[in-house]
Amino acid sequence: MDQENSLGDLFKKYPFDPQLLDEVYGKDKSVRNHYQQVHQYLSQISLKDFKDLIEYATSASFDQGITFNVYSDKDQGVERIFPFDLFPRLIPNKEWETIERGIIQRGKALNLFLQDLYNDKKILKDKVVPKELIYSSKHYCKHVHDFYPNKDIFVHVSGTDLIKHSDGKFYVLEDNLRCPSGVSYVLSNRIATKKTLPNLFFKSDVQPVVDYPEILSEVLTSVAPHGVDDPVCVLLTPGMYNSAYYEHSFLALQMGVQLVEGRDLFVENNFVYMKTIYGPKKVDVIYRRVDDDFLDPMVFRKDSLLGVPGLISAYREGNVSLANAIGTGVADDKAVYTYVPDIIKYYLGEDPILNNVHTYRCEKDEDLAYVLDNIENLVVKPVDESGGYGIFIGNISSKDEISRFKEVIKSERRKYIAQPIMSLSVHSTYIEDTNLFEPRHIDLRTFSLTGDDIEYVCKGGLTRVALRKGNLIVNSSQGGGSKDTWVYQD
Amino acid sequence: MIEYLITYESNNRYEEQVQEAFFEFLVAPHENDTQRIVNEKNTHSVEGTSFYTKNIFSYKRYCLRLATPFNTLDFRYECVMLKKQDTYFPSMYDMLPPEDEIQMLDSETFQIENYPFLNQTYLTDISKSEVPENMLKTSAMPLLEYIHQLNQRIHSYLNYRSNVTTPFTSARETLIRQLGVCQDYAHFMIGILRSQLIPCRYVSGYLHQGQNTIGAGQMHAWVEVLFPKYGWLGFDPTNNLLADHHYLKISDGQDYQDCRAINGFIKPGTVNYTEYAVSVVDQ
Repeated sequence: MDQENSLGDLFKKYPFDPQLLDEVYGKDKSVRNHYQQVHQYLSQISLKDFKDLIEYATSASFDQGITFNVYSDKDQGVERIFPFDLFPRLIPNKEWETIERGIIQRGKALNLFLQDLYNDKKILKDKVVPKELIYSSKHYCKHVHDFYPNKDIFVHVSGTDLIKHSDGKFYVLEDNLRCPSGVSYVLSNRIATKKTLPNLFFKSDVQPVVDYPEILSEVLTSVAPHGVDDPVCVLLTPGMYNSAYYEHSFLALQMGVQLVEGRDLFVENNFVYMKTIYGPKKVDVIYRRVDDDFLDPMVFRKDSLLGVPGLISAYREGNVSLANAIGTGVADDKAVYTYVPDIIKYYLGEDPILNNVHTYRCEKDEDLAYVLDNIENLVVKPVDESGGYGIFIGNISSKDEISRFKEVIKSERRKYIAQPIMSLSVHSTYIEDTNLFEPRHIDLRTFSLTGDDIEYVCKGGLTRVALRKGNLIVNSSQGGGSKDTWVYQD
Repeated sequence: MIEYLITYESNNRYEEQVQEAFFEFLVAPHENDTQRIVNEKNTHSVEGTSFYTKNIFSYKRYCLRLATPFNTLDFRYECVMLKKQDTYFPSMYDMLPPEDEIQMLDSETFQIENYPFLNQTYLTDISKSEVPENMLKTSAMPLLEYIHQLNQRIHSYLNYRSNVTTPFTSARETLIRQLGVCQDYAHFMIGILRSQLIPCRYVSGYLHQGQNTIGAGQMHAWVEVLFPKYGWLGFDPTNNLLADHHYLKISDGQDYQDCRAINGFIKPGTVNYTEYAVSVVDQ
């Protein structure tokens, strides 16, 4: 019987939850306007065909090597497919415009903030951001002290995580300003959609995402050291054991630049060279996907073999550009995040276009008291981790876990912030176990680029899906899935 | 002007053959109003490419990249330098009055501008509550007087002992064990000063031999303190002396890590033995 079902029949069985904001359906369960066409198209597909398409998309991903590693897995090193859901997430153009303006505004302000922090420190002297917060940040990097990167740009690539709350507004969950990953999934999801649902896709007026690698390449070229007209750019990866290695090789290939590891590079006379069979070749711009700590054993971790000895001196001399600059992590510290609205006002004199989620800093006495009293209703996060590691969610933890975690917070107050448990919007998602479409929480990671005279936000993004029912953590490293994200052209 | 002849020599042996290496030597004296290099020479036993860089505090480093395999590396730096002989050391009258001094030390802007020298590192970290009472500044005491006193108290509190500490020995361990070498004296003094938000920095350099001081014949370390409105002045708690013309500064930084004479990276990583010798003579 199941075999003859169409998706239309399945959509009728959708367990709509009026408590949650559903991206596809309005409060009265009617399909939202911008979803009409897609909904109707999918309704006509039989479940069998749909399953075939899923299998086709999965095997295509596998053949392309679109995999990642989960560090917490028992089977360390086993590659996994990033589960991809065929029902795309749709964003109307008007909504997107606000997001885009908001992200560009945020990026501008954070860049000015980093320039200021490592040089004049006006924002600290004016007491807008407390100096203690900056100087105690694990990612504040003294090696950038009194230094402007080429073209004054610190953050070339950023990945801003957004959620839509039950009030219908987008909120910024966090800024990722170090080596944000995921954009390769945006591009490969789009390829998969075009392959599996070509008729639907080409009928819909969707903004392209395919220009991302090209713009990234332009950004890298635009920040080349002074006097270099035809810069050599490379992508520096920690190597094949890194969870995002697929992305590194994918982007290098798309941009037509060399994918290199630390051992392929060396420094002489404060210039960086790549070893090639024709002899050393000077490198001008490095899109590095290696964290600060591992970049140069002469100044950072001495035991690291991933970096290039002497790189930071060459960098400070201005002979090589790094994207992103070193020391950017101080601005995506989750405690600094709480000040981003003030930072926007301070440097741009504007109100923030995108909201922050209200955040309690456990370092502050009154905030700590609130957090300890209301922990059941809060998400507590370490300020310096990423990938969803170390997150504590109050309403799903036992009494025991709560009292133990309270002690952890009290012992390391600077390390923790807390936010109300935001009700992330849900999106209809096909669930294999039940053979049904069910609501699942989603967020959106956007990707933006900043170069000399270039401001770009990839029109789309990675919609991450928490595949387990009721789960709020969507990170790929926590076993989430993803959706293609369509931004409509008006 | 006094003319000094300085020689720094290091000898590194590696258990396994090194295929590729990168070294930075922070051994050349810094040039400023009081000291000037007339002549200098670097030599090394393994052929490689050499060049200069500046570290984050703008001190000149000599870099060496080696791409031919080797088991031993001898490095030698030699220079002739001129040092001004100051007979006058600033007194209380050159400083701000104590209340103005305190006001400036407490000011947010002053603290922000001097953050690298106020922020404890893991080598210097001590909190005010751990510091022996008689080593803390009282509010009425002028800073200069306090530093003189602290220099002397640390000198008598610690016992000079070689080979019992390492470059990673922290000020807190020194506080407890009361033993160490010049580097430990310096970290200890820095820890005490920074715990009270008095800006100070670690200095590495050479000490003129034949003065009956401890630490001559090797790289020496002492401390510079920032006096509001006046500037930096050097103190040597190891010898309970002021850093006068017998002290030839190479560099300064937050702690020893910023001032290491040799900093190297070798592939493959292997056990190494380093011996070094320093000689400073006036001519």
